Amino acid sequence: MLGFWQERRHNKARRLLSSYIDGEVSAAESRYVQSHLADCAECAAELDSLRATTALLGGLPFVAAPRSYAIAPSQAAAARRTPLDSLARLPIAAGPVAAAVAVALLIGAIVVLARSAMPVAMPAAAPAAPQAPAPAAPAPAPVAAAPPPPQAAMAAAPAAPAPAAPAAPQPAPPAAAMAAPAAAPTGAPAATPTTAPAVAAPAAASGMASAMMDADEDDADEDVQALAIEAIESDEADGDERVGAAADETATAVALADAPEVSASPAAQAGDTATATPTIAATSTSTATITPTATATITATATAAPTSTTTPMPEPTSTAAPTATLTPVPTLAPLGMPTSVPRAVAQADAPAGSPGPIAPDTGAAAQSAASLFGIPIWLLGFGGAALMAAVAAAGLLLRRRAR
Amino acid sequence: MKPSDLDLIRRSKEGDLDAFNRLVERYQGQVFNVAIRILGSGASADDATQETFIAAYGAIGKFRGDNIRAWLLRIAKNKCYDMMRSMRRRPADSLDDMPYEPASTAASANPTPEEEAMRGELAAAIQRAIMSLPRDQRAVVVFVDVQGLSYGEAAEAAGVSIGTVKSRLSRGRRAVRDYLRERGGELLPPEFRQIG
Repeated sequence: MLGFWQERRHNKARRLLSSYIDGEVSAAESRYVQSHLADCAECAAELDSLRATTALLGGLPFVAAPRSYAIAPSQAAAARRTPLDSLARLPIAAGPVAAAVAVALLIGAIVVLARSAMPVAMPAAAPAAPQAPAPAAPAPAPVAAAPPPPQAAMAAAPAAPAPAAPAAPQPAPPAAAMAAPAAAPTGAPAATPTTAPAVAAPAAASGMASAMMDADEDDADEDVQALAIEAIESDEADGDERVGAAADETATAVALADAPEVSASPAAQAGDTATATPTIAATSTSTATITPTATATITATATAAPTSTTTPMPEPTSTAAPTATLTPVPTLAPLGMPTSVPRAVAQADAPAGSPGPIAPDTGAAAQSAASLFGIPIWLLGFGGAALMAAVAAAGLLLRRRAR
Repeated sequence: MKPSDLDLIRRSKEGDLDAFNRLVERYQGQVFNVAIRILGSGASADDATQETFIAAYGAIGKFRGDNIRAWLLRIAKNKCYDMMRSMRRRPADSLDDMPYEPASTAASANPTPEEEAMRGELAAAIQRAIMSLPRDQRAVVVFVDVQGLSYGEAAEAAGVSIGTVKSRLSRGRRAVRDYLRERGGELLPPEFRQIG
């Protein structure tokens, strides 16, 4: 214990030595250091070494300035120049030239943006053609149905083991069919387990499908994401213990024109009780004349008991402008395709379940290209030009004030 | 009669360039010495000193206080830091390539050539010890031990508290001492070598 306190006193005195040399300690601290130095040879030696060091540093020669650093008038003017003064030094034509360049850049950027948005809408329909021939009828192969509204897609998942007999006539692997076509929650057939077997059946047969659709009035991207899908279902329509499908998969469908694929990855598992917990998160951003952005998030939970009772608990959250009318176009996907990008194509003005190819609406695309975020390009250009002109005028005013 | 600093400052704020240049002449030696001790290079110190006074003239209107020396040394310190950063970006111009060589010093009168050579070598060794310090410790050591500023003035020039000055000075002095003990060799005075 005694050593501890002695160590503390030693360290404290040692810290004060440097200031003690310069007399920059209080009277109490000075007495403290002096009393400690009387007993501590180490601190006394430290004090001497620090004094010798300060003497060496203080003995460094004073270097005479090699020249005069007096400020010349030109340097003084430069030193006191403000940013406003710098503006005044610009040539008179700098303001209009800068404004013209800014306007040109703005218009160029708008045109580039508009053109870059066009090819997304155009080829999006092309991949739908080879996938189209699948009818909405009971198909043994998984069908990537295009359930337009999130509600329909969500309802399709629990609909697989539903007692609606025509809805699941095939022993297709039950799964969760998820399609989150944003921007068009209306106009799609109401897919409920009881009232819309035509939609529910292909959805159930497909297992899982995430779809991307190309709205005819949308010329921008549509991103559809289907996440965390698990479906285990039991079908006892014929009194037989059916196979449940457990699909745990994350599917993401991005509305890219050259990635048209349909995914269905049902993993069959036998079980008396199946639980389907599809969680669907779909986000679609589309740039349309009417509907710029649509987002749909769907969460559905379905539990199928051996008695074929279904308890869907969908919690859809969908924000989509209902102005775009979309019709699901079932597409066919090869059975057992493990992973792929699910896609559904929704085409306006197409009959429900129509397997026909989707023709791009070039007129709508052209109309979309002529606008950006719903604002006509000419209006954007005019606004940009007006803004730049205002900036140029303000610059000229500031320049005059600076002078 | 020499005008006071406050008078020159007031006139400088009114745009009197001659008054400001009187201040420059008054403090350019200290500014240059601070710069040369922090940077270790005469050429860099020359640039830093010139930039210091140009910047000071541009900002003299914002000066509030009465200690123009601490204010100028603070600007000089910041200019030195800027130059150190630029030197790090350009290794070809690093401090190691431009060691300080005291060309003209106010040395004692009538030294023998051997004494002058020894003194120059010792000064170079001390300068290297200063250069080995972290820049914050270096600035405080230069302010207090080389330039003889008080703790309060050094705190104002360094932009820190007096307690920070004390701690940086204590560590800096010990670091210089250890450096010189290891590498000073025969250049050190005998009493220094015997200590410790």
